Amino acid sequence: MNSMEGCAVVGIGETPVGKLEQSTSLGLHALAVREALDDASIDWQDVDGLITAGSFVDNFSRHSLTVAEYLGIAQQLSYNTSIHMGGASTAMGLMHACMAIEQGICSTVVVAGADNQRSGLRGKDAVEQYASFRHPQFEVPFGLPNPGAYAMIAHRYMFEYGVTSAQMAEVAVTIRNHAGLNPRAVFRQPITVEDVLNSKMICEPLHLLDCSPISDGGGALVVTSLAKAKANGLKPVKVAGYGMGFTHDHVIENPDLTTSGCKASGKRAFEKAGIVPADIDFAELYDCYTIAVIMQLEELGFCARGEGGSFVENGNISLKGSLPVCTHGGLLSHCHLGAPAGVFHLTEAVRQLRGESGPRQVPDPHYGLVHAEGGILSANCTVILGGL
Amino acid sequence: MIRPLPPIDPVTKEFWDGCQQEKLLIQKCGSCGTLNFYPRALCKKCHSDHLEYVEMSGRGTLYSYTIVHRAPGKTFDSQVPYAVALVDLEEGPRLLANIVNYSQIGIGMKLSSVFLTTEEGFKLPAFTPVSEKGEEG
Repeated sequence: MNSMEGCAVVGIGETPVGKLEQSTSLGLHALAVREALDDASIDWQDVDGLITAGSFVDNFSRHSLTVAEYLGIAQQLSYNTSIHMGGASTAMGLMHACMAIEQGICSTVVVAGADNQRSGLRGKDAVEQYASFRHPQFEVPFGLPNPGAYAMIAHRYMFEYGVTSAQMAEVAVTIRNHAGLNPRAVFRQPITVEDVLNSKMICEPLHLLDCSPISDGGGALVVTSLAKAKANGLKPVKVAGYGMGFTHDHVIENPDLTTSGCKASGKRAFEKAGIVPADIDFAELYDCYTIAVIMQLEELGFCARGEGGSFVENGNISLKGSLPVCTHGGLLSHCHLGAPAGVFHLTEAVRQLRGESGPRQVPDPHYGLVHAEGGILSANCTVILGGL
Repeated sequence: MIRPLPPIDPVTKEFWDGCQQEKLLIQKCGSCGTLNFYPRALCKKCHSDHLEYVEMSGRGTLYSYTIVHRAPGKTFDSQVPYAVALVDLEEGPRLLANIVNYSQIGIGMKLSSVFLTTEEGFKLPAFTPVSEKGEEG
């Protein structure tokens, strides 16, 4: 691939996050898209592609088209689709945006992810809603909550590799420290390993602070070809590689709880980018639960199998470590939006590569990796950004 | 016991009918011999439609588990804490089910199948520990 081929993120937008009482899911999409277009200095009329991640609050069956209609841009679009892959949706959305541009179907694509699950469910409970995503016949009747599925993964992982609850807690502690440097993060007060271990038990062995809080909010990215970005004087961050990977959908069908499609998606993304894990300067991993980060570190090749716990314990994932992880505070402390949650991992990676992350800036990064997964380590997408 | 009942369909009916007779019936492929769980229209390995239900021994090993303290919704609020586990049947298939008498629960524990009855009289599979002598714990 020559230096002008491929695609780039040229704009990012974020709304505030947390409990936004007056928000609507569609309204959050609109605010995030406006921010991203402003950031890119691109006019609304130049957008010809729109990709969304759906909503757990609104029930529009053609979600991306509803958003396009809401934004008043439906007639100008030559590509419009929603990705329904849970937490992997926005990373997969960025991958689709690149594919659509590279195929010549469109030239300026907005990838938007927003929802208001915290305040918009009107009496329903997000925990109950997530539990309903389990297999209706062979999981739901037995009372398996979303954290329960990850708890089974954690127990098996502890059994096979000796990872400890304290090592998992260290993931939450480190990412909380990063959130403390991000004024937009929902949880910013420092915590200790003891705080995590003493927090309420949710599903053994996962405590409350091993789990991420549901929030309202939205984010968006503007994607163009790299050639167009350079010709128009935009500030591009190159999409260097991407890949998807799968082993199962429902946790009952995962043949080995200690591995997932992350391994294949990471391998594909590294191959497309033509780089290796040692070339990555920071990683925005999908920290829905602390155990997931430890597993992704191994699956993506940042440390050997079974060494994720000690890798974290030795300080490698902190801002001063060898591989800063979730530099914005991640799902654990910045916020978790539900299906669109991965969008802030992407916006933060772009911000880091532009050198605009302020007190939490990784020194002079060249490549950043984003991994996102949906379901129970089910739908995996890895994106590698940077390299210009 | 209050539970959300499974939305039984024509492909899964025989499995659930088996449970009502306290039998674990699993699809066996007549072409390649693969045991398929959950039930399907085609074998997940060779995609044959020659699938017949065969009865399992009910013996299994605990692959992983959790003890649920935060219930997944109102139905389960009054039932916490309870154990949910992935159980590998000795014939191969893996099922999710609740574990009764779980005080000594651990990975690798030997289990045998039992059936729990909901308030509607519907039977769901569950497992209970087996002692060293092969008796239910």
